[in-house]
Amino acid sequence: MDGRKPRADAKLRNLPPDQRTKLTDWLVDGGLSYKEAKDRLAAEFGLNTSVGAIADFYAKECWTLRFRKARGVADEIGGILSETPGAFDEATITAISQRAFELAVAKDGDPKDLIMLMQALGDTKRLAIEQAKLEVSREKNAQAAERIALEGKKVDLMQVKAAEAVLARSSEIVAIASDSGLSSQEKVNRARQLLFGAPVDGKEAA
Amino acid sequence: MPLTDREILIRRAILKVLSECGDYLLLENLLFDAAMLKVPQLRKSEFAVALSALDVSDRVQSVHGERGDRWRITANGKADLDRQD
Repeated sequence: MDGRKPRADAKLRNLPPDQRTKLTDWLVDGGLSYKEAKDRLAAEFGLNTSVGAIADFYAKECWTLRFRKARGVADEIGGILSETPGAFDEATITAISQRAFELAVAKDGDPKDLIMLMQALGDTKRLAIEQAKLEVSREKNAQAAERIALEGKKVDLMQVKAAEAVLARSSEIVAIASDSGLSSQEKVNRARQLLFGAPVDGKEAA
Repeated sequence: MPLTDREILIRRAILKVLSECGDYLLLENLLFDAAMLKVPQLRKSEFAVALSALDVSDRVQSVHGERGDRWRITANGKADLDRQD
């Protein structure tokens, strides 16, 4: 024995890895105060320690992790905002990421603020997706309208051609129409062949 | 006049904290809280002196905002820290 007093946080530094991870999570992610962490250590692991020991543990083991996590959160938020083209300019993305970093890094920061920010970002992303869907749907509608207009033009052209053909062969059409030896269907088939030639499929309508 | 060990410790703590922030700025009060974790019984006055000295020597830079000054480490500050590590 060298007679030296053990360090205040020695007990905590020698915790089993799973308990040590839990304590780190409580302090870093859960934002527990040292007093709350002390009470929870006693309740869950039956470990009695001091607020000072937890403060030492936090200072040595947790603060770097807290800053790194805050950077991760802020980077992620910046990334989400950048994925929504045109929604935010560079300065706004930087400002929001900076605010997110501050909220995440502040030990007494209200997690609700960060949650609200994340929800707002989620809404922004959903809105961007809905806008993209709407854009696709508008494009499809425009294409359909173009197709309908084209079909209409084709019908117009066909009607004009039919009228021209009837006028050019009017005497023969009249002769077919007045031929009493032909049935109605035969008259239609003859008139059609006269005006437009043989049917495309080679079959006459029955 | 050469720096005392404590002055060196405080300056190093400030640089170390800011280096963990990457490109993000850190509010001065949060910087103080974090530096306090590394320097026992850190006083606001000695923190302010160290921060000012680092600012003058271009190791850190500040941006003034509504909620107070925010700080970030400069390339010189990072180089200093790397040399010390």
